[in-house]
Amino acid sequence: MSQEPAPPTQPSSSENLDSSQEATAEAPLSADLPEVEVDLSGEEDSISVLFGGDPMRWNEQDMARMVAHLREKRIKLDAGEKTPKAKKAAAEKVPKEELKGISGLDLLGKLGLGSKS
Amino acid sequence: MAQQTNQEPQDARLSFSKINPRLQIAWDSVSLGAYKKCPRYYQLSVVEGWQPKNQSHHLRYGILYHRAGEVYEHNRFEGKTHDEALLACLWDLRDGCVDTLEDGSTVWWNPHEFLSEERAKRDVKTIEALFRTVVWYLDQFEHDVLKTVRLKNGKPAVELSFRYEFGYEFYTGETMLHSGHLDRVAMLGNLCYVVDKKTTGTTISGNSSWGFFAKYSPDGQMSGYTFAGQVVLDTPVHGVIIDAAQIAKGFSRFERGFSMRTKGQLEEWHHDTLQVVKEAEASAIAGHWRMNDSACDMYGGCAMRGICSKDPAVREAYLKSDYIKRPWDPLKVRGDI
Repeated sequence: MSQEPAPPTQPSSSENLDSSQEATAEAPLSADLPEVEVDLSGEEDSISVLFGGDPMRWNEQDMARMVAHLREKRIKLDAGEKTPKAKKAAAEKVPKEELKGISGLDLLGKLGLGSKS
Repeated sequence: MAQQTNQEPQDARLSFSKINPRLQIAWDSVSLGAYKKCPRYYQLSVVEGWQPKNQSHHLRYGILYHRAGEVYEHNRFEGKTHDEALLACLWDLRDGCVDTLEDGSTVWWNPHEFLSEERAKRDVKTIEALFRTVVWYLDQFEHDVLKTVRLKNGKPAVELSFRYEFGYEFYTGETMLHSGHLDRVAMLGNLCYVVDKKTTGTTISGNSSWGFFAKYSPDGQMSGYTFAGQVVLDTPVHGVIIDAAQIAKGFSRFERGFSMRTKGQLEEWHHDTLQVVKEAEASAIAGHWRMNDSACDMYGGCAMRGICSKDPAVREAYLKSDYIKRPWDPLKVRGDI
């Protein structure tokens, strides 16, 4: 049932590569989005309607609108803009300076998580 | 053989033996990974082709994402501009996301069809997110430093299906094949790499970046792709560049990592793979695939845990209730554009 392993043979693809192809560009290998905590799910509404109807009724304008919407959304992300949800969360966050020199109990009270008796 | 279900494997699959329909002849990374993880998992998911209903959207989602890149590359190779190629791929993506109902009407595919309301809320794989990820990815890499290899037939080396003889003959006299699909083959400078696209819901940036890519070394899939790239393209391939896309609620982000392989590592992978296939051959002859019960809790819990945790006598009833049949066939060719 078993045989000695032999080297791999007979590639079935005849589509060997053209090794003359070379990359010359020196662009960065990875271009990351900025490190921002965002949630733009609430901003999908304007485009969600497109995904709610009959997909076969999409026309070129619909497609162009969707691409433009997505690109605009990305520009906002690149610029570090936060969504209303993220802005609200940021506003509710207690600045670090205000936390200096206060006790744990005070802190809990400040965060609305407990009360001093 | 109380542990087995009574379900016979799908005879029509080309990747299985004509003599023993339980014996897999053509092996890909999914099949190898499944057997390595747990022979019983391999039996249920590959030999019998069961898949949990609530995970069935991942495959279609992944195929659509990969196909979008393929359509884009073909259009660029034909001389289209970035925007023209992008639009062509988005129209194709739209078509792929359409389901036709019995009355002939068309609706958007609902990836969350089989998910509970709670899981659907948390799942980020929506149609909108798919379009967003494709547009942002292609925009980001419009001027990609990686140059897709041009095949001798003039086509780009994307979604390249491969199969070749691996150097082993089964007891049936049939030859083992290694098969699969390379997402893309590209040059970085004068070095050749396989490029593999991954989507994930977890973060791939910042401090966890190393962790995300580290899991691909060692990794059988990446070793196999490197090995296959060398055999099929008849050129040195240095490893795999992993093109990772994080799909999150409201945004997608992308990062690349390397998974390099040396000649010695590839030889080791070849040797180990033969051992795995020989074990699987013995299982197919015996008609019994043992359970690796130390793997049930890994990766967030095995998809077949709900079956294996039941008494053998009732497993088939649970399979028919909670799983669907989607037979896996590694010889199914992609890249037919």
